[in-house]
Amino acid sequence: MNTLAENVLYIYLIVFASMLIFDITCIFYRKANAKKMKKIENKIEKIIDKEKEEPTTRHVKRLKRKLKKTSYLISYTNVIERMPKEERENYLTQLKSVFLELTPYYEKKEVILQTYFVNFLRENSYIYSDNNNIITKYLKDSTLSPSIYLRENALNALYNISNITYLKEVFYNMNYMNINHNNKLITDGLMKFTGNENELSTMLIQEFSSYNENFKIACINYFNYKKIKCEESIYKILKDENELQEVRIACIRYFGSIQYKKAVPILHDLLNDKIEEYGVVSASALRNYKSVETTEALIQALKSHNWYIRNNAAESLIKITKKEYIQKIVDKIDDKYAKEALNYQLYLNGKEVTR
Amino acid sequence: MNIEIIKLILKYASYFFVLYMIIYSTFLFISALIGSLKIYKNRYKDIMRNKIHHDYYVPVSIIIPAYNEEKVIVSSIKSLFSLNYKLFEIIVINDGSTDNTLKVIKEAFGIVKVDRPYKKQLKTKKVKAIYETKHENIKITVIDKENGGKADSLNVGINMSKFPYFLSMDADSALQSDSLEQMVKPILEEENVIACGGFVRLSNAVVLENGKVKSYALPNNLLVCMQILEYDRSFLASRILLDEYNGNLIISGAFGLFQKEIVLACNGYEVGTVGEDFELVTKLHTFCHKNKIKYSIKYVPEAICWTQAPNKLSDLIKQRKRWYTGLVQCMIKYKEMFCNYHYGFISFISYFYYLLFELLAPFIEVIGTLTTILALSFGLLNVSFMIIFFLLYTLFGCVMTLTTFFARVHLANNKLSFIDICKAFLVCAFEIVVLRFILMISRLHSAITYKKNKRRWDKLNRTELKV
Repeated sequence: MNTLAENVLYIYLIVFASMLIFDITCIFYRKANAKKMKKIENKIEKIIDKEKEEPTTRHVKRLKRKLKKTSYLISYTNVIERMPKEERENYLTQLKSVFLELTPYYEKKEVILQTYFVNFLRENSYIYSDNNNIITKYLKDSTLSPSIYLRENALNALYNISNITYLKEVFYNMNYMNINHNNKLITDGLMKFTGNENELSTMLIQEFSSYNENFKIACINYFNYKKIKCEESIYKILKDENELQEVRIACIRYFGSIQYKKAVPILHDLLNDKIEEYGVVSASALRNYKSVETTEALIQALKSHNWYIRNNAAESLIKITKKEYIQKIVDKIDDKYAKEALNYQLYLNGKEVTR
Repeated sequence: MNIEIIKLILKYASYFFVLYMIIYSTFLFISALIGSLKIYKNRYKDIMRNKIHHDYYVPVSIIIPAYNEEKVIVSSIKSLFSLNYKLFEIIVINDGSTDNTLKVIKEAFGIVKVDRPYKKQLKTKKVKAIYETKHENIKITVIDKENGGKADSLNVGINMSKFPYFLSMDADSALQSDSLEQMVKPILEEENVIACGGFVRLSNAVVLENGKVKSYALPNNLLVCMQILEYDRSFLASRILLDEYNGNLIISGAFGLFQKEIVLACNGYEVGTVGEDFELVTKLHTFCHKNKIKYSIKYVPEAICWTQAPNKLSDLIKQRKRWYTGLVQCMIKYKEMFCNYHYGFISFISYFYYLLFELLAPFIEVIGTLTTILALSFGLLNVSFMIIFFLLYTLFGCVMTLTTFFARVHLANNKLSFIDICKAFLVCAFEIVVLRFILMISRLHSAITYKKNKRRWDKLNRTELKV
């Protein structure tokens, strides 16, 4: 027993001692390596400076060989990032053949390395913007990767070239393969789309029913943030009681920023829905619809047992009603909590607590 | 006859202690190994730009409970304005301070008293007044309430918060500029993340400028140095290992992000305990298991919070006694986790680890010492083996501590001077022998006085934060 214990400790000690030596060596190596990397970067910078106008065949061949090394790719990326935008674009556009050859090479590499390569492509989209090449196919395939980083970089690379057909295909595949991608990330990506927004919206609406919850929410949020006029389609989604709760909530939010009179009755109804989350968001969205009916509905909502409905109704009332009238409501209402909520909103509205 | 029985008992006792140390060393070995590998992988990912950079983030309410924190509260709040991540509100809870905590906040930020209604979702002590202001476009709410303890203050903060996630932090802590951004990442990357814990490091060694490390050097105070090594080992090793199977039972109260909805469903922080952070995380585990909710509790070593270590022995003992009391309360309350196959690894590794190597450790250590003395007095001790084994174990502990310390320095890209490297080598042996002895005594004392002190929260001395 004792010998066993001793031996176990010896083994652990040896492993830790090796790790310790490794860590300390790493600390010194990093210091030395930083200088070495700087030298390589200077060298690359000089070469690029000579070749940036019209890269020679020799330079192209050299890059095809050298960029397969991770450290060289990192140094090269650092140098490229320092170049002025136009110069960089002109230079890299002439090097398409290099990246066409590198793509199948990196496709077989570990995911972390692939992500770096795709990130490079994403930041220099003119390399693959002529479409239908090996690179775009690789990017499309990468959106199905289990790695969120690779998926996200590939999606961003595709948003950058604003090709709706690709996005349609990619979104379809991601949904078909049941890939879970955070709706915030999808919305954020769509916001970067620089092509024809109307065409994109039309495509998203056409494909909407085939999407899963995350994609549906992301699309509606995108329409909302970009103020895309697709009210009738969103109205239909909101009306559909079989639609997912979070999707319908996103629709209510949409009508909170995009006015659509036809949606008002349904927003009034949802204010008193048994699913209180609808009421909470509707109370907030109704501030976009100034009318006697809305004011009445919000006054009723002030008495809701749900704190959030009450609070949002008070906020909305302040936005759509004159101060004097609010004061009258405060005086008239016999609900302590409603009074409290309105008074606070009156205070905030009258005196901005900003330093 | 009696001697024979004693011999037999001592023989089996020695087997038990050797086995105990082997299991403990193996756990430490595996956790440090996996921890280092994970951190290396994360660093490699970082270099290879495996990141998510986005504008639309999850809004967060930062809750800071403060009881007599006049020395540090303003610096702590100010440190938050250096965060890269701008989508947050600050809620400070003045828990009936008897010093000038409220006054210094008023003077620094010009807060204004408001009649703000709030939803009292969790039962708390009476709120006396609510103050608000905006500073650098970030809303600051200060709640003045009757004294009710840290858990009660956090519950008030939850009631007041308007965002779906809240971050609890200590008033003597400062967040590194990228910490909140890092902390929120798991929520974007994975589904079902209900809580995230960050890496708590000791601010006594650092000078921060605009939320970034300006300089880092091991302090001259031996007690603080030992704690730095201890923190690095514990946060880099065991927490990463436990995180591998969603088994962390604790997210430090100094720096933890939680989904508000699920915390409310669990009735928030438990007011009657002194280890509210441990209690909440364990409660979340049991709640999700019982209700068959898919969940994930993440540890994010890249999210760094700098907090103060006690620099006086008396303060350290007070702090550790409180931690131990909190541990006992929690382990007893959630005893259903013990050897319960429904909880899987959480029961058989996490709970077992805390039970055997934290809760029972002081008793086992004392019994071990007594057995050794007994064996020595009966001439039954193999002295040479004992000395070699003790030295070997100490050496093992030192090397492991240094490995995690240098792994952290290397990976966090902190620059260390040659003097600091020497200091680390010298202090690690002290940490094994001296600090652990202090901990043993304080935990033992805490266990003995458990009934008397189970609600006692001793205030530690604070020094000004260098931010």
